[in-house]
Amino acid sequence: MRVLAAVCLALLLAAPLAAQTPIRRGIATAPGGVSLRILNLEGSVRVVGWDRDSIAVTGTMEGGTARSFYLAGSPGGRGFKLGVEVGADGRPEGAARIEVRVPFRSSVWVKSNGAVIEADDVRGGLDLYSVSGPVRVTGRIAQLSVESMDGPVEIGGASTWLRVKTADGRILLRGTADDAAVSSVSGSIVVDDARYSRARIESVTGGVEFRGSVPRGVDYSFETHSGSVTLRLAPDPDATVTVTTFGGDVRSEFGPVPSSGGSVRLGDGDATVTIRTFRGPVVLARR
Amino acid sequence: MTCAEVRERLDAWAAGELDPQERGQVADHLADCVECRAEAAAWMLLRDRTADLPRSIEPPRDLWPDIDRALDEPAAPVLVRTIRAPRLRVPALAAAAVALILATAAVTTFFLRTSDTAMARKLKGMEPAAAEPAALSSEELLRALDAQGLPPETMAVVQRNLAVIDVAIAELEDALAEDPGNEELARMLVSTHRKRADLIEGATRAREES
Repeated sequence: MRVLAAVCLALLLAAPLAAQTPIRRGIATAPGGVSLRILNLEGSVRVVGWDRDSIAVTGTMEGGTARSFYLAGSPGGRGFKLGVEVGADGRPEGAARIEVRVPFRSSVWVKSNGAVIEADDVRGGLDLYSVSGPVRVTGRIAQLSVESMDGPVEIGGASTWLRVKTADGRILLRGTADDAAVSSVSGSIVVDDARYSRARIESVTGGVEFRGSVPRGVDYSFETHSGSVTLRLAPDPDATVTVTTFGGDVRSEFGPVPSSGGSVRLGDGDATVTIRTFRGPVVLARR
Repeated sequence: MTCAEVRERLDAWAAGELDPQERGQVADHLADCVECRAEAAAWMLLRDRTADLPRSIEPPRDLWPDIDRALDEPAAPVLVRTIRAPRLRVPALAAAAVALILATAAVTTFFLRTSDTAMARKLKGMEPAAAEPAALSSEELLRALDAQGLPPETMAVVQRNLAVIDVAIAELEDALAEDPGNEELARMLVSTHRKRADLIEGATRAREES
């Protein structure tokens, strides 16, 4: 009886392992970065920049056949595609969990449905699209564009140009950027100790919270329809803050702030902070 | 100011470069002229769209050394090759077509809505239905997206968020009807329409293939 139980247990454990196809592919690229398009609707994709002129893919795939996963492009070339084939019904033939190493200065496009997307140190450009899977980005990226319908988005690292859009998905921003434009319809947006030269943060009903300092010379604007805007500023900010709200309450720990487009000068007022809400409450607080 | 005078200044108005007197004159005119207000909204949309563009784009590498080297090499015999146009799958073509239609529809909606239908009715005695004949409703947009075969869960996200945006737009339009010259309200209305267009554009990407 014990032997039978052990055999059954072994079969149960082995079944999922047998359904997984290992993925191990690689291809040489031209020096100086490549253009890569990744389509993996389910599972996970982790893209990491490395200091080699090649692309390497490792991971596993559930479902599909050996031909379901592809890596296309000419050895030594600049344009590549990889991912899991999608059937005529729009469903992927399998769910891959892959780590993709790409030359540092590559431009990478990733599309997922529910797959997790992670990217680290891809220094060229990233264009990431997810329907419901979470997106996390770290490292240095020149140009970063993330769009998600209802998956959460978390951005760290440093980029020169940053764009994030979600419908429902909540957004957490850290790190730095020269120029950031971030918007959501109903997801919350939290800016936590991020530093931007210019930033536009907008939502319709989602709350917006900024925590951190406002460096000298920056230009930040926050806009919501009915979502709250909360700025938790480091002590002694140097910023001119302008608040316009048509129906929202304004609370400030920095003294009275006019709510109809009037400005309040904090410190030497060097940075520009503009807040607009239709009826969302506005809070200016000390961190 | 006449309509022509106002339209000559809308570029500078949208960029916030007019002096206070001219700015006031333009605002007075826009409060009474629905056509110029639509034109002004278009300038604001253009300004917001161009603000999204990167200030500069660094080339991925310095191309000149390769070009210079190629120029020094002896000329290769000229080969004539037939290049076959890449085949696009039908779903990709259909997705592109619908994206284009929806984007155009969103812009049409934008122009019609930002021309302030309430004011249009008042000024021209138009019936509510006639005031926004070509604007695609959210129901029509959802039907178009559904025909694209978007998964039900994606459709649900779009539907939920379109409803959120439509409420916001309705509230802003009502507020603008009360205070037609309010630039902040107009700015927020443009911004909310932009989010509506972005949402539709994002949804169409769900069917995009590599």
